[in-house]
Amino acid sequence: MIIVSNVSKTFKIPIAKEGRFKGIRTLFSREYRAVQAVRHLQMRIEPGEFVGYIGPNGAGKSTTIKMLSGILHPTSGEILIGGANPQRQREQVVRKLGVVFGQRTQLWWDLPVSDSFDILASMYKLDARTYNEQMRTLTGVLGLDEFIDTPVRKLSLGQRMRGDLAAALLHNPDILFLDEPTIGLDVVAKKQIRAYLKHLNTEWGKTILLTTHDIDDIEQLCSRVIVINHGQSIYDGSLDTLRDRIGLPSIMKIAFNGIIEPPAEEELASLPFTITERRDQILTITCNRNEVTAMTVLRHVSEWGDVQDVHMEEPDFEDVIHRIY
Amino acid sequence: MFSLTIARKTYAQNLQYRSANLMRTAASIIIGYVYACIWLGVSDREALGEYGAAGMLSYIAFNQACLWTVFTTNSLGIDALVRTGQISVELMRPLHFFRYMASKEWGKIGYQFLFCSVPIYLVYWLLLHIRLPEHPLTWAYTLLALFLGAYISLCMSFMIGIVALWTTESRWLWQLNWSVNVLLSGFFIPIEWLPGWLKHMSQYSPYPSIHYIPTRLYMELSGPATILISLGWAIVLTLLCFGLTRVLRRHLEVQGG
Amino acid sequence: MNWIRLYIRLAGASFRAQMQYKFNFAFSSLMAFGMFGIEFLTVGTVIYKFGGVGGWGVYEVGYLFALMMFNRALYRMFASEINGFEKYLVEGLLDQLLLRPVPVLLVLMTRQFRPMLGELFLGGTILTLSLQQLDAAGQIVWYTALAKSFAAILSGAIFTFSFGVLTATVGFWTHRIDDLRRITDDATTNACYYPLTIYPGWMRMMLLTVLPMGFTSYVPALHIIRGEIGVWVLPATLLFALLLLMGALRFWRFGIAHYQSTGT
Repeated sequence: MIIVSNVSKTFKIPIAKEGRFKGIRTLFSREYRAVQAVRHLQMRIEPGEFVGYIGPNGAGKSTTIKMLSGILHPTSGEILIGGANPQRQREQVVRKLGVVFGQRTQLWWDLPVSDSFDILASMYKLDARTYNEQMRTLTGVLGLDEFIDTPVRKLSLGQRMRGDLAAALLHNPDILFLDEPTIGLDVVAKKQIRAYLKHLNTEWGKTILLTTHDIDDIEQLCSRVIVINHGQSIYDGSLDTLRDRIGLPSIMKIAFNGIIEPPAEEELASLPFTITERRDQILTITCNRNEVTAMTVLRHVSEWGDVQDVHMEEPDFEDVIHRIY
Repeated sequence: MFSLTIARKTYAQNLQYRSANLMRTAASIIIGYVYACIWLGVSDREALGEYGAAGMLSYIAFNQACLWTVFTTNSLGIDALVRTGQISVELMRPLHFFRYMASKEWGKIGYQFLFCSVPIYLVYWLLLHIRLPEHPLTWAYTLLALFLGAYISLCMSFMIGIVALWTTESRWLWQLNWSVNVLLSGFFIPIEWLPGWLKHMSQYSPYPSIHYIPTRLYMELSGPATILISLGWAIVLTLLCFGLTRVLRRHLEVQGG
Repeated sequence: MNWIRLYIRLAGASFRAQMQYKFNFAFSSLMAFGMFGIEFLTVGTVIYKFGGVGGWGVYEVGYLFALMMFNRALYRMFASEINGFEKYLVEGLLDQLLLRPVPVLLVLMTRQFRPMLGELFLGGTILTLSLQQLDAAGQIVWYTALAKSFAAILSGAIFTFSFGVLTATVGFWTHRIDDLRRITDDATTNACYYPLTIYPGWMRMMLLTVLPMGFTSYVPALHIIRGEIGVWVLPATLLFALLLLMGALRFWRFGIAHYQSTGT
């Protein structure tokens, strides 16, 4: 169980002086600008949950993960992971954690993948039997044998991510923190990784906290979503409820054959959608699909002329979150 | 002019770190002082010859001040360009690769001259009362020799960078070059006091142009004709660098960039 | 005991990783050896030509140089990444190390493990030569001096290591330490290749108090080869070194709590 109570993190950044001798004055100045990366964060994650942790860049996601895994110390508040404090009892807590940073590998870059596992096994003091058993299971699930003897620097990004996941799982932790594990992967590899993650959660009962910019990850994996922006948690609940709350602003582009005859102004105003642009024979319409279905829009529009083609755009989920909060 | 713009940009870029460099300059002053103390502490003072104790102090101090002007970047950063693959972008610049890299380095040299060499010189002048030239013209000769010294050092860095194509790493080669430089350039020991074989090696290498020639000029121990030696080396090394750039281009073509 | 085994394992992995680039490894080892050799040649030339410095003879200064060489080699062997700690701070590489159930310093010490054989060989040669000559001159008895030298090198390496850790820790606040290291490491090392008698009083004082690197070579040598102070100085130096090490480790732990990781 993970309990985050009222955690804040403030970074101190020295203020650069202006004017003459600014270099020297900055060197000796004690003035700092405080940047609040995380403010009064509250969170409670039960065993077996799969939580998506989302928010725009710079919202405080990575800072949170780094505090949870004991890398950073919170300025105030307290974190408990399985009853222990990841800062004060770092070495004890990290034994229960598996962490993957998508942008960085924790494998030994120049050595074959299997060497990394050997080293990690001795670091986590696994006995030979547990180690072999764990390797067998992981090889089965993650398909490691196709690249286990290849040096890490020669792996494809998808293979490397599987290797990193295995490395994080080797000591059989109960909790996994995954920071953008699907970043940069192609569609096939993304699917594969998602299937593995699903397996880890449902079959092995791992508690997983996942940060991502890919809304499909969240949609397919997470039972619960926490949204953070400007260092504050602004939503905590299911993805469906979040959808209801922000609605589904969509854009429809409709192309016509021949003449378009839209109705008069006052009638237009009563419609459940708005025309935002009209160019040649293309109408751009924005609507909230919580209030009106695409079919209703089409039914109205088809009365104005001969519809040739319809194109729908769903806005970027993160973009919407950023705009709304 | 494109070269000048590049040089100015590197100068400005270095300018941002001048407060961090303050520490470096301070360390440099101390290290130079340590070297001077060694010479003042040698048991057989008589042997200091034409320099004398005060002369040796000035010799070492002036060398230490010049150090930052002739201390060029490790392989001019070419090894990092090769490692990251950025090299193919840099080779596409509308300027000869050697001139492009040299322009960048001149910006840094200019910065280090003003913000490292000059302050160190002034501190030594104030605290150690080092010798000043008697003839005003000496300043001009010294600066010219120093300019050529910096250029020669720059060419050598460039050459080390090209060698990095085959060795994948140039750090150690660079440090070796640096140690050889300390020994053979007259930075720490005036060349005439080196044991025979080292003296010969030094005399037939470009290293003396980096320290020995400018400093002897400054101390008015040798005449302006010695600048011709530096000039000769500068020309030879320039030709070598242009030649090596062609080797580099061919090498990258074979490897597919 | 477990940690020693883990250290060997990790250092071995780091060594094997470097051996993937065999040519580069051989090349850089050769270059490093050449570099130290030339450094010695430079100093040696002056000392030899002018018959010693600061009242110390050629072989006495050679002995100092050998002690320093061992200190440096051991420090670089076990802690080359403490020396290069700036990149861990600037590039955020430290995060990975903090995720391990092992002290960060231990993992850091295993990175880029180099056997430094060339340097140890060079140091050994100079040490042997110096002790032999000083023995022949009747100044010392070579085997007791050799035994005492090991004690001096041990405390010297601990000193150098502690200094490295102290300097690296400052980086948790300033992020940049390479320039600071030029004073705490480069300048003091350069100064300690020679007897401290050549420096003015204030500088000698500083090398024995604020930046006590004088204890790595000069102070033990005063006893071992010059006999100017009693044998008590060796255990005292070791004690001082251990105290400094404890202080450095404590400061390091304090520093880690103030670590501000780089953003993503």
